[in-house]
Amino acid sequence: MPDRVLGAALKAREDVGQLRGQATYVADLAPPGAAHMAIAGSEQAHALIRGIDTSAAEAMQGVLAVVTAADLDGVLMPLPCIWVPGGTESHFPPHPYGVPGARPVLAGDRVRYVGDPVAAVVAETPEQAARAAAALRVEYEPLPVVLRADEAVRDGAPQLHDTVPGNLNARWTCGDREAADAAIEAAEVVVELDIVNQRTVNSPIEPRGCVGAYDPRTEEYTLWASTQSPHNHRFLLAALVLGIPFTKLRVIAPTVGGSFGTKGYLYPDMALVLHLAKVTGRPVKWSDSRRGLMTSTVQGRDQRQHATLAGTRDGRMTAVKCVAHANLGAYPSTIGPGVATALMGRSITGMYDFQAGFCEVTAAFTNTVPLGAQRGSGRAEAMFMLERLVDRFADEIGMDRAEVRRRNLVPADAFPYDNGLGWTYDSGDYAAALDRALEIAGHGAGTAERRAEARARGRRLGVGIAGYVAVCGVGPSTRMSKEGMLGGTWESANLRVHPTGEMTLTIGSSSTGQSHETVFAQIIADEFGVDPATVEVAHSDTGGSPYGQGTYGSRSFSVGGPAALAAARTLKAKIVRTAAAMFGVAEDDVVYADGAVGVPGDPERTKTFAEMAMVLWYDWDLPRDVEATLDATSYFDPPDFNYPFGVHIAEVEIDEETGAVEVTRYTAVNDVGRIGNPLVVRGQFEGSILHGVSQALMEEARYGDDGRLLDPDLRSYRLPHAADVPFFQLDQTVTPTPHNELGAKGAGEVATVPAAAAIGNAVCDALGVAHLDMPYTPEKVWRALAADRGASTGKEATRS
Amino acid sequence: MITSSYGFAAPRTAREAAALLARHGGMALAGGQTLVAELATGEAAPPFLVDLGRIESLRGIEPRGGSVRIGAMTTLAELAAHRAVPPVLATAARNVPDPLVRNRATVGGSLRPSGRASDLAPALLALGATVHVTGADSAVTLPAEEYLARSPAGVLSAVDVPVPGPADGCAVARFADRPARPPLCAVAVRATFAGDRLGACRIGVSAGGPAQRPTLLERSLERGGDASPDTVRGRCAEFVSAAGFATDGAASADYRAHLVRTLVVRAFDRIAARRVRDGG
Amino acid sequence: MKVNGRAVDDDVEPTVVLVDYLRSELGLTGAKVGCETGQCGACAVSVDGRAVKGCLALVVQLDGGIVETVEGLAPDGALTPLQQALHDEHGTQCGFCTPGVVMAMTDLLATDPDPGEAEIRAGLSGNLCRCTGYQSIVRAVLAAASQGTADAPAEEAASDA
Repeated sequence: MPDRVLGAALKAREDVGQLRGQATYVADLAPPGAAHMAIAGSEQAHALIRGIDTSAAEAMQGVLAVVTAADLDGVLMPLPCIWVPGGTESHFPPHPYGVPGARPVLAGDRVRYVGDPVAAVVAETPEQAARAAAALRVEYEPLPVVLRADEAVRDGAPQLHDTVPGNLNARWTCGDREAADAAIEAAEVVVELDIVNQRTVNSPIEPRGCVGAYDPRTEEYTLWASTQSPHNHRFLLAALVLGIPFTKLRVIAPTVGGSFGTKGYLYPDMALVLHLAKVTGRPVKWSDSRRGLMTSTVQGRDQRQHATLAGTRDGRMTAVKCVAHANLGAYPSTIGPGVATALMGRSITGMYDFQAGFCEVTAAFTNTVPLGAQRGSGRAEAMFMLERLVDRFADEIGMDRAEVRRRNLVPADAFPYDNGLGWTYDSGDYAAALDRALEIAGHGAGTAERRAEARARGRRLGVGIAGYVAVCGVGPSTRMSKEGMLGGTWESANLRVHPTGEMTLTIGSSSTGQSHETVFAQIIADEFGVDPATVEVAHSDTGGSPYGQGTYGSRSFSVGGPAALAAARTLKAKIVRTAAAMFGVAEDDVVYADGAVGVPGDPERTKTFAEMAMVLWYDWDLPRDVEATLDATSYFDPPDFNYPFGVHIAEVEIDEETGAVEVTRYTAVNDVGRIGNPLVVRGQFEGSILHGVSQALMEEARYGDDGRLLDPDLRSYRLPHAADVPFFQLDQTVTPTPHNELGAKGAGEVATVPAAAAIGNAVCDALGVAHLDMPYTPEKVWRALAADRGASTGKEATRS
Repeated sequence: MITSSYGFAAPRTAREAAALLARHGGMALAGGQTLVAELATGEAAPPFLVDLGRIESLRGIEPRGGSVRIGAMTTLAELAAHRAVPPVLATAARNVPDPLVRNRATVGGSLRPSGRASDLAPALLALGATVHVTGADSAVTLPAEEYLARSPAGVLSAVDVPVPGPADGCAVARFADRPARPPLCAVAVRATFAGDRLGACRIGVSAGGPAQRPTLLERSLERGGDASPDTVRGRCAEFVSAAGFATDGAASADYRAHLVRTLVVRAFDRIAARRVRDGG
Repeated sequence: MKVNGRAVDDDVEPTVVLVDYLRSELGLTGAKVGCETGQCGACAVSVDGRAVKGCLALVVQLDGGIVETVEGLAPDGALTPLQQALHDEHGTQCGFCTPGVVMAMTDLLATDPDPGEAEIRAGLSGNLCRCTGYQSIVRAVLAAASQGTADAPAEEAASDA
C-alpha cells in the first residue's frame, strides 16, 4: 500500500462492475409487475389547449391509465424552483404554497415549448404505452412564438406566464455600474464584443428514467431515478409536489450514467410515476429515449452578451462590464435562474485584478426547453466572454497575449481577494499556473515558424490562451440564501465502524461517474491507517441515511469530503479517549498511528483499530461517559466557496480550403487544491476539457422558427468522438484552500470552464478576426476565411 | 423502440423478394444501418418489410475477368477486406468511420436514396459500375447512375464493377464536419491517361441534401487535356456550381459546391501523386 | 440463435431490435440503449464474431446467428486483459458507454492486434463517451494491445480499492 492512501492513484472499485456490464442503471430495473409510462409532449411551441381527447388511447390494448392536467388538479402541485436570482425582484409561475413555482406536472390550459408534457399513459409494455401516447388527440390554438430572451422582454412579445410580466424572471446585477462606466469612459483603450454563447443539449449518454412504486399498506412511495440529488428531490417532491409527509417518500438513485447538471432537477416524470403507481397499483417505469431527452431534459448555456473591457495603452486592464440576456426556456428549472445569474455574473473578473466591474443579466422565459446547469455552468459563459475580451485588448494595444495576462493577474500575496463582484477568492498563485502552462505549451519559441510551416500545408495555425477562476464547493448556506437559494447547501456523512473493524460511510453526495465510493473510502482509510477495501461507501438512498443534498457545483470532495473527514476524526478522538481510559493513562499519553492506538513502545497497551471497534461494541468496563459503538454523523457547511483556477492553451489548425478545425495540441494546468485520487481527477479534467471543446467546435441546440429543434437526435446533433482530440498535456499546481480540513477545492467540472475560450481564442487567432461565435463548424469558418480574403487585412497584432 | 407494425418475410431468392415487395409495397431490409434507425424514429413506417439477409445469391465477391461481381448484401467490412475489390472501392468502404456500421451496412444499402451523402456511391459511379435489379418476373441491368436516377422497382441484387486498368488513376476524397461523422460530401474519380494527357474521366459526386442523389458529373475534364491542379480547379469552377446542390440543416448549397470542387482537386492530386510514385 | 453460448429459441415480433430483446427477455442488461439511432454505441454486442450496433439489428434478422454480449466475455469474477487495462487506466467513469466500448475495442484488437493511437481513435468512431474525454480509453487499448492477448480471460479481477 502506498504511503498515504489519500492522494494515491488507487483503481476505482466501481469500474469492475461497469466493465462487466453488471452495474444497474434505472432502465435496467425490472420490478415484478411493472407497468410502463409514456409521456405525450406538445407538438406546438406555444398554444392554448382547447381539448384533449383521450378516448382512443384509453381503448388501446394494454392501457391501464391515461392522465391529463385535469386529473392532477388538487393532487399534484407544480414543481418548485428553489434558486431564484438573489437580491432582486423576480417573477415566477405560481405555486399554491407561495414558493416560486417552476412548472405544472402536466400542461393545463397552455403549452409553452415543443415537448411540454401534456398527458401520460401507463400500459403493460413500453410499446403499448408509446402507441397510446401517440393516439392522444390534442386540440391546439397556436399562439405566437418567441425564442430569444432579448426578444422576449421587448414590448409586444408573446407572453408566456400571467404572473411574469414581460417574460422577465429577473434583472439581476452585481458590481458597481457607475464605477465601471466611469472607468470605461476614462479609459485609453476600450474593446467591446457581442457574444452569443450558444444553447447546447447537455447530452449524458444515459437518458433519464425513473420507476415509481406505492405501498398502500404503509402509504409509502419509492422513487428510483437517474438523479444526482436524491435527498433534495425527496424533500421537494414530498413537501411541495405530492404534499405528503417527509417520511412517506424514499428516493433511490441506482448507478447513474452521467449527469453534468441535467439530473439534479425535478422533472414531471418523477411525480407522474409516483402518482400513477398509486393509481394503477403497479410499479410504473419510464425510460426516456434520446429523442425524448432532447426536449425533456434541461439544456445549457444560452446567453447573449455585450461585453466591454477597458484599460491603458501599456496593458493594464481597469474595468470589465457585461450586459447579458439569459434564456431560461419556457419554465424556470429547479435551479436554472440562479445558475444563469450569480454563477455567471460574479465570475467575470476571472484571474485578473480589475478596479471596477459590473454585470447585468436579464433572465427571461421563451418558448424553448427549460434551461439548467451544464458542466461549468455560468463560469464557462463568463470565462469565454472575459478571455475573448483579453485577447481583443492585447491585439488592440499590440501586446503579447500572455504578457497582458501576466501583468494583470491577481498577485499571489493578495489572497483572500475580493473580486468586487461578490466572490472572495480563497487562495491561488495564478502566475505559477500561467508560467507552467506557457512552458508546457512551448509558447513563444518557434511559433512564427510553425505558423509559416502550417501555411505551406494550406493550414492556418492558431494559439489560444484562457485562464480561469471557477467558484466551486457550492456553498455556504447563509451566503447561498443571499444568492437566492431556497435551501441549505451543507453536506453530510455518517460513519459507522462495525464490530469487526469494517466501516460503512454513508454520504449525502451522489455519484454520477466521479468514483465517490473509491475516493471517499480513501479519505476514511487515510485517517485511520487502514485498508480502503474495508470501507464501504453507501450513497444515493434516502432510506435509512442521514439527510444529504446531492452532487452539483463541484462540491463532493470539497464539501462532502470534509464532512466525512470530520466524522472520522470524531471517531478517532473517541478511540483515543477510550483507549486512554482502558490503559489507565492520560489522553496525551496515547497515540493513534498506523492503524493502532496505544502507549508508544508498549505492545501490552496497544490495540488495533478493529480491536477498538470490538471493544466499543461490547461496551464492557468502559467509562460511563463513553457511549457504545463507533458511529458519528457530521454535517459540513463550508465557511465560503472555494476557487480552483488554471490556465489552458489550445492550438488548432484550420484547413484553409474546407474550414475544418483540428485541435492539434491542448495544454491544461489546473489547480484544485488537494486531490483525493489523481487517476479519478485526471479523468474529470479530460472529460471536462472535451465538454468545453465540444461546445466550441460542434454543439448547438438549433431551433426552427416554429420552435422545433432542428437536430432532434444524434444523427444530426454533433457530439465529440475520440478522433476529435489528441492527448492533452495536463499538469497541476496545488494551492490548498483554507476553507476545509482537506485543503480541497472543487474539481469535477472546472476544466470545462476555460476550454471553449481557449479554442475560441485559438480559432480567432488562426483566422485573424476580432471575433467569431461558436460553434466553429467548417462552413462557418470557411465563410469567415472567405470574408477575410475579400476584406482588407486588419493590422496584425504582435504575437509570437 | 419500433412502435409501428409491419408484415415481415425473409425469402430465399431475390425473385421472391421482388414479388413480395410488388405485392405488399413496403421496403427491403439490407444491413439496416439507416433503415432500422428510421423505423425506430417513425420516419419510416412501411406496411411490409422484406429481409434480404437469407438470399445466398446476394452474397459473395466474384472476380470475372475484367470486372468484379459484388453481391448486394456484401458488407462494407467484407468489401474493404477482399483482394479482388478495386482499391479505390475498398478505400471508400473504409472511409465510413463507424466500424460497427461497416460490419452490417451493405453495398446495396449504400445505393438507397436518402438525404445524406454516401461514401460508397461516388466510387461505384466513377468506376462505371452496373447494377443488377431482380424484378418479380424479370431482371434488368443498368449503369449505376441510371439506377440512382430512376430507382426502378425490384431488388438490387449485385453490382458489376469494372477493374481499373494500368492507364487508370482512381481516388476518393470525402469531407465530414468532424472526422468520425458521415460525409457532407464525397467524390470519386477514375481518370484514364494516354501518356500525360487525360483520356476519359468519370467523377462521381455525393453531396447530400433533400432530394439529392449521388451523380456523375455530366461535364468533366476534357479529353486530351492535362490534369494539373490548376486545370482541374479551373474546370471545376466552371462545371460545379451551387445550382446543382441543396441547402439544408447540414450545409448550404454553395458550401457543398465548394467542397465538391475542393474534393475533386484533392482526388486528382492523389491520383497524380500515385502516378509519380508508381513511375507512370 | 445462440447468446453467450446458450441456445435461444423464440418467436419474436419483427419489430423487436436486438438490444431490447437481450435486455428485457434474456435479462442481459449489460448492453444499453443510449440513442436508438445507432450513434452512441452503448448497445454494441458481437454478432457472428463482429461487433455491431444492437439497436440497429432486428432479432428476426439473426436466426441462426451467434450473439455475444459483454457478460459473456470473461467467466465470473474475471476481467479480460482489455477490461483490466480499462480498469488500470480508469477508462470508465459513469460506465454507461463502457460495455459498448469493451465490445467495440475487443473487436478492434481481434482484427488489428497492434493498433496505434490513430487507429484506436478511428476505431472508436462508433462509440460516444461524455465522461472520460476518451483519453483513458485510448491509453487502455494501447496498453492492452502491447500485451497482445486482448480477449483471453485473465485471472481474478484485480482492484485496489
